[in-house]
Amino acid sequence: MSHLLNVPENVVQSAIGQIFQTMYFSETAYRGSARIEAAMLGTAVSFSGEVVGEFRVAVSASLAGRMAEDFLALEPGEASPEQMEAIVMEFANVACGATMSAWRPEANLHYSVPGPLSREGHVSECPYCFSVSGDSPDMGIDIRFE
Amino acid sequence: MKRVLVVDDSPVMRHYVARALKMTGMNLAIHEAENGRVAMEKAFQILPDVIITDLNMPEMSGQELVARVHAAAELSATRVLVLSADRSDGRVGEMTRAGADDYLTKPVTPEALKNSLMRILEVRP
Repeated sequence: MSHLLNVPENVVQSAIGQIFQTMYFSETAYRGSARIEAAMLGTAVSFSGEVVGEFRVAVSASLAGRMAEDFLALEPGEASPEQMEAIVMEFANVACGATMSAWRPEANLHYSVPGPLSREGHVSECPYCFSVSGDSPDMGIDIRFE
Repeated sequence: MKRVLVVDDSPVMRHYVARALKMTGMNLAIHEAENGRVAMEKAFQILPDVIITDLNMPEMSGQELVARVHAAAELSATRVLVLSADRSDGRVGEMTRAGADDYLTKPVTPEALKNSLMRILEVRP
């Protein structure tokens, strides 16, 4: 996969910011390209059609827990690992659709069901990073094109 | 009471939609299914007033579900609301032509859900 195509930063920033406000009642701070140090949950959605590639999402474990609590109206610390994984997958599904449609609204892309990233496929260095819970980046997006 | 069938392969999204539906304050009986195939089985049993469906699901997609509901005489009164992360112009038009009564994009707010339901069920505020 390559990075010859690039989705503009403002497109990713706007799509992700809107999703966090609506689904998790949280604000995001865009950090650009950065490294995520915390333990992560990773997931990916493949897309095909006019452009082909993969939309990868990495979320720190602590942020995934908070997302699950907000989304499912759970008490702090109540989210199970399965719920956290499911939340990150659903977030990747929504984030991929929102971002790619905002970038290429005329393209009729087909999307896969989200799946977990293998440890090798994990992205610690992400071109589009966000801070949600604090100052350090705790969520990253990588969009790779074939 | 209106019967609503929520179809999504993600259990957390079904949970979220069900919670959003309760927040609308409308008098709804909420049922759930994890894909189009299960949704069709449940639809013939409960004859829902509205099916709210995702598009991208294993076993039977939302697109096929819309077509099957549209073709089933027993479900002629059932309205279909598509709720998908895919907001491309082509997909919205494609689903409308296939028989969907409305198309909302994720992330969806309870207000948007309520407005859509009131419109397609022709409920007056």
